[in-house]
Amino acid sequence: MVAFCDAETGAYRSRRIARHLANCEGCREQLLRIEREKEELSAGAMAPAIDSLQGLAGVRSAIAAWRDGRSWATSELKNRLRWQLETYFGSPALLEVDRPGTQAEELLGRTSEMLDVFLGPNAAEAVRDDCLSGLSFAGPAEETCL
Amino acid sequence: MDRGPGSPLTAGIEQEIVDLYEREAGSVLRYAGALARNQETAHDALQEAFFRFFLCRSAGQQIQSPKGWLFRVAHNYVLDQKKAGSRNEVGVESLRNVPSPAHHPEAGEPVSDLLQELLEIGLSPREIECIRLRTEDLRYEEIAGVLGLQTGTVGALLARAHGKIRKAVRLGIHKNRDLAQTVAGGKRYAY
Repeated sequence: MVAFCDAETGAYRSRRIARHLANCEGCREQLLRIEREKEELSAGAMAPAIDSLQGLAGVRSAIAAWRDGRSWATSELKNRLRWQLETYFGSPALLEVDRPGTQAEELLGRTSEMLDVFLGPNAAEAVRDDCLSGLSFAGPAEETCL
Repeated sequence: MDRGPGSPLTAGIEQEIVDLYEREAGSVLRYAGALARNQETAHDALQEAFFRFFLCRSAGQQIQSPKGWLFRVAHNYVLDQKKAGSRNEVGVESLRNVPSPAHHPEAGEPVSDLLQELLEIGLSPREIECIRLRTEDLRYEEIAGVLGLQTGTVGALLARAHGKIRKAVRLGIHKNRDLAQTVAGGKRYAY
């Protein structure tokens, strides 16, 4: 019933539930009670506290640093992708995919496609997450702070 | 395909990011903040999520549900940071020979007063997570993607949580005046 209130039951089940509700007073009352409880619990809505301009400036700055091609992140991502390619597909495949002049985004795209096929979408996503982790910041903080 | 700065593809992705940021950044930040209980980590998670979105889109990846995708990345980022943090804390505590703070047996992390209250009314950490995400208007499928669950499981967890909260409210177990704000981290309780 909670899922029905959230419009998450799908068309077929929703139609069945709606048909049942038309003939069942007990369930109608339960539905009204759930809706009322949700309304009561929804009190106290607050606007998100975020400075969009400042936050977006941070993302843009990370993108700009990436695009100039000399950032730590570009070479780091390439190294991580190469390592994954070599691990899963071997050196010959790596040489085939990572040709001179290949941009990091291209390498990411190709590696993703291969991993999707080889590992399946969920495991490929996990590997991709691993490769992309922590690249949005200026550099390897753990190493430079010590 | 031209992916350089100023190319139509790049400009399109940038505009996509700006639109997405204006629409979703607030809720991602609020969620990450509630999860991390640390605003600095929450802001880092937000930046990380959007930068990864840029990278994946630039690499040609199609992202079916950008909102769910951003929440998933932010969620994983916060968990990684917590794991890294707790590893350090354990090291320091063992060196100082100081007793550790109260730990929740499942999460393996210090339990805040707020979380303690939710745990006291019987909500599991997973139920709390589901409610937080539903509060941010994520669909069941998106919540399932963020938490690595089946969609049906999300529905069951939310229904169970609803029942527990109803019971707690009826019995007056919770101490807070507004449980909704407690659960939602200050936003509306949408589910």
